[in-house]
Amino acid sequence: MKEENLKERIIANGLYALPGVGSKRLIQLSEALESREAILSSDEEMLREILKKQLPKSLVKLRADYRDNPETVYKRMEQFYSERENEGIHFVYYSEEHYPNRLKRITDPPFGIFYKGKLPDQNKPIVSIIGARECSEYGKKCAELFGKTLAEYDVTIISGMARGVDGISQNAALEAGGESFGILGSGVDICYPTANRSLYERLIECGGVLSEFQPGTPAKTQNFPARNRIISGLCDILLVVEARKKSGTYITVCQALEQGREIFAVPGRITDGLSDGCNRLIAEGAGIAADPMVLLDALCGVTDLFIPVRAEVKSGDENTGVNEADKYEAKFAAGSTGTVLRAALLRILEETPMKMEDILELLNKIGLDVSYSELLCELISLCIEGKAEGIGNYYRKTI
Amino acid sequence: MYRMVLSSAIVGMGSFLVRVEVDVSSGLPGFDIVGMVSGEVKEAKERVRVALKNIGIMMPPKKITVNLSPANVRKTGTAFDLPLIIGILAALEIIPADILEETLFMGEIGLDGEIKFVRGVMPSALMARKMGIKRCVVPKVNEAEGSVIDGIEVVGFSHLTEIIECLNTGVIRPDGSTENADVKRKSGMDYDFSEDGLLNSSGEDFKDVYGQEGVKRVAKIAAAGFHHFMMVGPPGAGKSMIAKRMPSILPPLTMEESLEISQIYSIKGLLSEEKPLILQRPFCSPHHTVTKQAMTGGGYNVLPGIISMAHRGVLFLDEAPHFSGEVIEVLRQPLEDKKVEVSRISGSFSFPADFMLILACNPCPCGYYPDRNKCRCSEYEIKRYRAKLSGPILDRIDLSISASKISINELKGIGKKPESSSEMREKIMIARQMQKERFKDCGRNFNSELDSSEILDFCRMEPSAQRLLENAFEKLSLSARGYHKILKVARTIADLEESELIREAHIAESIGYRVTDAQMP
Repeated sequence: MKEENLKERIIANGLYALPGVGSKRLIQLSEALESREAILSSDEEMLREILKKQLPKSLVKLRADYRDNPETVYKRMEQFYSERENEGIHFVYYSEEHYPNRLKRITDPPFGIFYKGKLPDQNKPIVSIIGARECSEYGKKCAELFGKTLAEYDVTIISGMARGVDGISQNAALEAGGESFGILGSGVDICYPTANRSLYERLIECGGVLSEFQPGTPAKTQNFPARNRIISGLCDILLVVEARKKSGTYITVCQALEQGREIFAVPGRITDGLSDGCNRLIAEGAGIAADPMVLLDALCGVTDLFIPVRAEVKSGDENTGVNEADKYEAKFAAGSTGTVLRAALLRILEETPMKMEDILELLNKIGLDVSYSELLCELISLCIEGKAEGIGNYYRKTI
Repeated sequence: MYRMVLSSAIVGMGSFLVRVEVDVSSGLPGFDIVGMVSGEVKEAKERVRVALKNIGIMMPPKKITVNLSPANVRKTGTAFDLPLIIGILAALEIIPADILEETLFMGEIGLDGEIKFVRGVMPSALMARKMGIKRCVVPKVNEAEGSVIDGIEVVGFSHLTEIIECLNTGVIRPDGSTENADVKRKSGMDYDFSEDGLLNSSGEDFKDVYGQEGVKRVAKIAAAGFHHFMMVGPPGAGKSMIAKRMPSILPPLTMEESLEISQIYSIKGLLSEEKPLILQRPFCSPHHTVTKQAMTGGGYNVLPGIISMAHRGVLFLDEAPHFSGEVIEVLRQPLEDKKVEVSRISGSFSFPADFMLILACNPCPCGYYPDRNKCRCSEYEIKRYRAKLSGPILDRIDLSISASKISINELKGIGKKPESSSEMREKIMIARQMQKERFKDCGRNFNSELDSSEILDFCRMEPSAQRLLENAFEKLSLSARGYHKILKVARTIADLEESELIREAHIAESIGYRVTDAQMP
């Protein structure tokens, strides 16, 4: 890197750390003046002209120091910058070439971004996957499916590294050998939630973690909406996997719409509180993410980036799906699966967990009078065969 | 003048003979009690002096010395008031001394001369019988409790004047009647240990529990094989209701068991005139703020704790994860040894503690997991909540069942009529009988007590059951302990169906009740 550029970045890094100087003002100044150094050295009148208001006190003081002793101020900034570099924390600011261009197009981009690992490849399609922290089994499966499949097609997955949908989709993407980036609401050197430590480390290895907040900033609730605007700002398509009607996810979607991003939502049952948000989004015009392929198609529409197609994955998935269904049908027809109860159970069980009492009631309704212990026996043998799964006294069909 | 009166003191679960030696002689007037006595025994001086004055007997200005022998064991409690007074009266020759040798006295004295309730009459009466003592004189309120012991005469008095009168006339009967007269005494043999008698004594019956078929089934299996079990479910699912009804389906107490339990309650001072013998299996449900000392027993004068009060009955820990870790941990040794060793400054004591442990807890802090429409607890919160019950305790839990929220139809009593306790007990008794016959040579009582080699001997399976279990072992990644627990429970399920061979269905059902990670708090 040219020395001049490095100097500029060191100054930008120093300016960004000033309290009371927001991204907005720094971007204004940075764009109007030819260099970052000019923010420190040029005439105060001119700066005021650009900002159309008073300069923040902290900036005034820094400028005064710089005028008196430019050498020491720069030394200080240089040391500040290299300390962070040594910790593996990199910095990029708005006017730099590799600052994510998608972010530049949003209304309130951050002046600087700290990152560990690397920055997302601008030439690859990016999908952000968001959803509930306390997701259901269904949400888990969907997050996994979309994260994995999209990563297989070399789509970068961005998310918030939170518990639930976020972390699961990112894990799946990494698992599939793809790239994924976590956008944090804390400093990049802080892993929140701590339970996602291993994900955090893997992200740094095969992607990166990004944050607009100064390193060392603890995870604060008020920082999350700001973080969310970057999640949506960085992507081509925002995918919502599971969301309640009123949730943080919904706020992110609103921001994404303002930023002009395409929204897709995974549909859910209308009775499922965790899918309310998604279904509402669909009703309001979001794309229906019934299949990862839908997203890939849409990506072709919203970006002119090359989307590689791996036909063999696609056909494989479909085939097995059909075959399984066929097998079930055949077994029902032949009555070879053993008892009537078993056949009825395979029909009744759903993908969301059902209470045993409810299953009993349904069985009674179709005229099967079985005792609790008989039902339990049958469910357990289904579990052992891998056709069902039990969580407490809730049972569901395996997907 | 020297006189000696017999009395008794309680240490741990036993009682021992105490000789109250009284000497009244001339010298500087005074009243001293020696013989390693506690504060309340020393205070007896004042009670005795004032009580005697109030019934019209003035203590002479003489030197009175009292020694409680054996003098090297610490004696506590208020039961020595009565033998002390009797000793003084005999030394003063107000009452004849000839009766003292064959009579044991216990009782607390009020200032007006009333004889009041004391603890531990039943074990004292037992000890007295063993020592060949002819009769026990106890407070009237303790008479019924003592009378339960056969082979010894237990007489109750409510006032000092009565006792003096009787001793003077030589007729040890407060109402003037002699032994075997029309005073209706009830010895242990006279109590009704039949099923009906017991069921009537408590109003709690499984016929009031609508719904919760799964939990009731587990309760039945647990009662049949004496398995410890756990209920996981949202608040209001009826977990406590079912736990409270457990004693009603456990087999009735035998006379020996009843005496065993009653002694513990006697030492705790919990028997009364109306209820001198514990006839129903105890049900103890301590609050989750209980300390570990209260649980195991303890104190300066070591008394049995809650787990001993639950001896031969049920110990129910509601909201189990809220109990302090220490309290849960102290249950480990008693669950293994069926007794608890308490060591204190005054010595080491062993209290019986053979109880059925029932745990109840919510599946997560809010109680609704895995119903994600309601439960918004994070995985982390659920994990942390569940980690509060330690592995070693859960290892001893054979069965686990999720209780779901009760539906409106079940609340209204629509649907199948629930089985009543006596119907359930019929099946359970059959299973118990089968176990009795099976284990008659190996000293076990219940399926839950089997160790791994005995499981191989007694849990014979049909081939398909064997295959199912092997399959499950692989697919559900069971531990060795989990495997054994499934077999033990399947053994009990088979016993309930009077099948010597464990069938596939028994194994499958048993697997369904295993303690899994998903429901394991």
